[in-house]
Amino acid sequence: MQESFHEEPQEELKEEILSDAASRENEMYETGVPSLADNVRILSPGRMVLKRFFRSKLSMVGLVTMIILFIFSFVGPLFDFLPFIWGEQEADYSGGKVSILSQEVVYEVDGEQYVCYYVSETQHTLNNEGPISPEHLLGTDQNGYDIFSRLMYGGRVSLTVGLVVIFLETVLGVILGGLAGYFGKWVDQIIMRIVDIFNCIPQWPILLIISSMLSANEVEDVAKLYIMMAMLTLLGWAGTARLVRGQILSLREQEFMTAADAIGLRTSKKIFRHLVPNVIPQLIVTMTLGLGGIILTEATLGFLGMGLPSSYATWGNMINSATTTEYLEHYPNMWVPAGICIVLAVLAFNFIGDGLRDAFDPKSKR
Amino acid sequence: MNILKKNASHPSEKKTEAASKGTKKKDASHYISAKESRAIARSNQKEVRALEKFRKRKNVPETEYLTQMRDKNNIVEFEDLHTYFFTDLGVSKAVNGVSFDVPKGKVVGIVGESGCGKSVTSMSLMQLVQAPQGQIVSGSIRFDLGDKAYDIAKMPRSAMSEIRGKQVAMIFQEPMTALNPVFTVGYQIDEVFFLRNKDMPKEEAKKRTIELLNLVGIAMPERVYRSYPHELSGGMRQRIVIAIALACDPKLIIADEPTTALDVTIQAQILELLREIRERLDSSIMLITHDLGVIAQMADYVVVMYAGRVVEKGTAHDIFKHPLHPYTIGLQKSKPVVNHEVDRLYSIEGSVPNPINMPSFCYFRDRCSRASEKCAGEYPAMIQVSETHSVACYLYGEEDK
Amino acid sequence: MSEVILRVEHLKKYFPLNTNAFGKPQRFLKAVDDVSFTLERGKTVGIVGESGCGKTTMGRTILRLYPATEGTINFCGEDIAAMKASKLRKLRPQMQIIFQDPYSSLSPRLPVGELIGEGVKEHRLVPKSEYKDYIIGIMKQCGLQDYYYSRYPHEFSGGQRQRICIARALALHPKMIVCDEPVSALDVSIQAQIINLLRDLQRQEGISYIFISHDLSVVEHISDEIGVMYLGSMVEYGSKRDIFDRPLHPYTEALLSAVPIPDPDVVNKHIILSGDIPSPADPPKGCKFHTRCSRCMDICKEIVPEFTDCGGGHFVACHLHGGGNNNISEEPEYANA
Repeated sequence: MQESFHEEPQEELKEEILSDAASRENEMYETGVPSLADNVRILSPGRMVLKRFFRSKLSMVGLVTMIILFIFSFVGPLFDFLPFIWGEQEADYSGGKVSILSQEVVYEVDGEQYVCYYVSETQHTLNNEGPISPEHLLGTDQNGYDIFSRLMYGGRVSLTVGLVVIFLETVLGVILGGLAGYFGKWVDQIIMRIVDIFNCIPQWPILLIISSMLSANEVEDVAKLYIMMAMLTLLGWAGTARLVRGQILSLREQEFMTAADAIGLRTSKKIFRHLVPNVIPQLIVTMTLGLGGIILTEATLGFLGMGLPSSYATWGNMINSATTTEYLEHYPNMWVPAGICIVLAVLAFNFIGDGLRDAFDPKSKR
Repeated sequence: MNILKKNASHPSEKKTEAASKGTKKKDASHYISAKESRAIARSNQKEVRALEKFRKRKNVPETEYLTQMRDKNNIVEFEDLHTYFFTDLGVSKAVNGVSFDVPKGKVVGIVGESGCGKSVTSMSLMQLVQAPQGQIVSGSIRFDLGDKAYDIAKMPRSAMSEIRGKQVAMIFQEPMTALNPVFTVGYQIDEVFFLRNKDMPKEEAKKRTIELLNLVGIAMPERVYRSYPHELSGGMRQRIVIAIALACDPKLIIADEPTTALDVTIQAQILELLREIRERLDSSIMLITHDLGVIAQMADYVVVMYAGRVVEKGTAHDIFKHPLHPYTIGLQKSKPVVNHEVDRLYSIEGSVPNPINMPSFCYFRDRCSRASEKCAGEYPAMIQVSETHSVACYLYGEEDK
Repeated sequence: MSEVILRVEHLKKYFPLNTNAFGKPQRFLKAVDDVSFTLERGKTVGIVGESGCGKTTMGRTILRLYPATEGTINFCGEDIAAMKASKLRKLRPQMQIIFQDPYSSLSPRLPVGELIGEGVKEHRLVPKSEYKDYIIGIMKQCGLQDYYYSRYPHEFSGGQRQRICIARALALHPKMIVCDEPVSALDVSIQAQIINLLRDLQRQEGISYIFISHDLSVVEHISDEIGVMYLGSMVEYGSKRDIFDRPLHPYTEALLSAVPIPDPDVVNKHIILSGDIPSPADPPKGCKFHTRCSRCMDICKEIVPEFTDCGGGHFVACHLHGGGNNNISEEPEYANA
């Protein structure tokens, strides 16, 4: 019974469906039935990355912190009309501090002892080591500079150094790593051996030697800053180059590169249109993660007194004051805020870097 | 046929101008706006949280998921199963009301294109759908354990260890990734025995592993026992994966595209092996594949899925000899068959839809050559055309009544 | 006889496996070992074989994406195996390739229009003013909507990506396209669309294809001539009907019988090949197939069979049909009707 039901309508129907196929191809687009495949709207690539980025709370915290730090450092000093914003090297002479120095002098006259007290009273014009006040939100340091304001200027230096160095490092790394990865063979051998050499140079001794050489030769302050940035770049590009080379080596094996070969594209186009754009996400991630490291290096140099002269405000220089016991014990307002700023900046960049890595990773599902 | 001409009569010709002027503008509606995206995220979060809470409960009394099988001869019964993925683009109804049975000792083939929900159906049975986005939303999966039956859709995750690896085993598509590269083959099979019986002596486990390796047709089991997965060829690895699946003596084996990654001649070997195993053991097999040839060679019953729904189900004879749904017919016709020459292949135009924002009419309508007025209505119900054969299509509704 | 587009003669491609201290290769992986065939204008040569048989390497060597170790590749009267790189670049648009994986073969950071038009720009095939219209015309010809122009590849399904790949090749007006498993990563219903598209384009533009696939039914459908490869060597070559109706090599027979037929009533009499494919780095001595062959003779283990013509352009490399005798009629039991 089942058979009889099936046989006839079935064959007929099959024929019909098949004969329809040919005629339908012409009509296909005219039937007006919306295609379900086009029904779904999708996220644009940029929004997809943003969405994945903002899904992690930590990276959001990082981003907010970073924005605040940038505003604080770069916009803050512009409000110099406010009473508590001072110039970078503008000392506060308004201080009315009175200090009483007393000295006990013992005389011996005719066998009798006289104790004489010399009392001197000084009106300090320089308001140094000042306490927290409405004028000085975080007090003043030993030179009478406002700590809160100097935090802002210090941020400028630290963030600028970080950004410039990471940018130079990346440019150098992409060019050399890209060459090594793309051309392979002896080019790769030479560049990668140079990378190896740079990787085994001990960073700290070199930096210390250079900065003492700079002070010995009495190099100008601003030149010192530039030289320091150049040194940090030279010591840091090797990692980026290695990363780029690895990426390009794996991208080169992808079929779209073979396709580019088959089309007959010029080498420069192959590198700059196909390879480099595909490395950029990873680069951005390493750049943000590296920024934290450079800020830290710069601060350490300042702390060791090997960075810019102490009259310049950098976060590292400001912590330098913690090297004396007196300031360490009695004036935490002079070095703790700078320390907090460094920690915040490094954490923020690391969080953002982590978030970006997850956001750019096409395989990440969460 | 002149394709150029065909396309010239395309309704989107109006769009050509827009496209050449500013394609950006047209694309704006193609992308989800920030506002919609936030709304989707919010509703997803709400639903996923509720479902996760249900799934993560502890100390759930067994009575809550005890159930009765509708038919004693079935090992698994899917009934109106809905498994959704809560994605950034909206709710993807990967499995949208699927019902079918797996009888004891039979092979049920599930066939469909990628994204039709065939794998998700089997993953739902194991509760291995990727959480938290993937969630069984409603319906029931009744599984017969012999003396009792559980409704897997209602089980909390903690109770699942009773089912996974003991009652149900899986064979995966990619044998290399299914095996752990740092352990020897022998260790990985032994592990399954220890999982069931912690006190089993090592020698006993090894003996049984070697028996199993013999069963799956490995020539030198002693040597293979000591080797690592990367030392074996693709076919051998798939045999090992099958051996692991058999080690726990499962009531049901889910084979998810077991031969897709293999060469034709190796595929023939593995299919032969699966057939042998099926005769020797009385387990049921759920065979998931897109290859109609494999299904025809192996399956007793066939379920055809499209965009998360079952469009047709029946015995292999029903499906291959008397296909009813236009999709089933199209699928069979679009595959060239050796020694049957045709000038032009039949092809189903359009592409497989992404099961997000599905309208309520038949999902196949826009690709169907037999679409009619009626198809604009609700999604067609499943119609029983014979004892074993049913189809969801308006073409057959009235004849039956 | 129509115009010959491509004549491959004794093509060899060896990859060095390990080198000695002086950088001289010691062992080779013979990925393509002495393959010869010809391709006519508007025709299709199908290449079938299992993984590791060297069919993909052969396809890429023919386009000189890999340099050939030995042999000549005569494309439109010029030997591209020995051509200068700069001259070859000019010739590139004439020969194109379509890959298996439509996901990795499109650069994810370029929009569709750029991907398709890249080569056109590079070789200045159309003037700048007509450029966009030209690309949109090509896209339509491949069944792509014009508003896809500025979308990115990740927004498309596999089938549509494969259409983009075809459009990219087609935009350069090639004479020959190497199709490297173009449909094996696609769904069945999409496969049919792509195969039909390829055939339509062939008829319109007179393109020749080298169609590489492991799927015999697809190859049968699209090809005029078929070559069967095993471990780097061509074991059988002939017209489609020769191969499918009168397969001579035992490997071809086994391949044909291994294809599952979508009909539950047909009980396949599988010729199940025992064992696995040997590693191409270490192929067996003599006939490479003898380790799995059911009709292996003593001679097979020692002597490599000659690739001989059994009549009517049906070549086979097997001792069963050796010596170049036209003994097809004497062996009717191999017919697989």
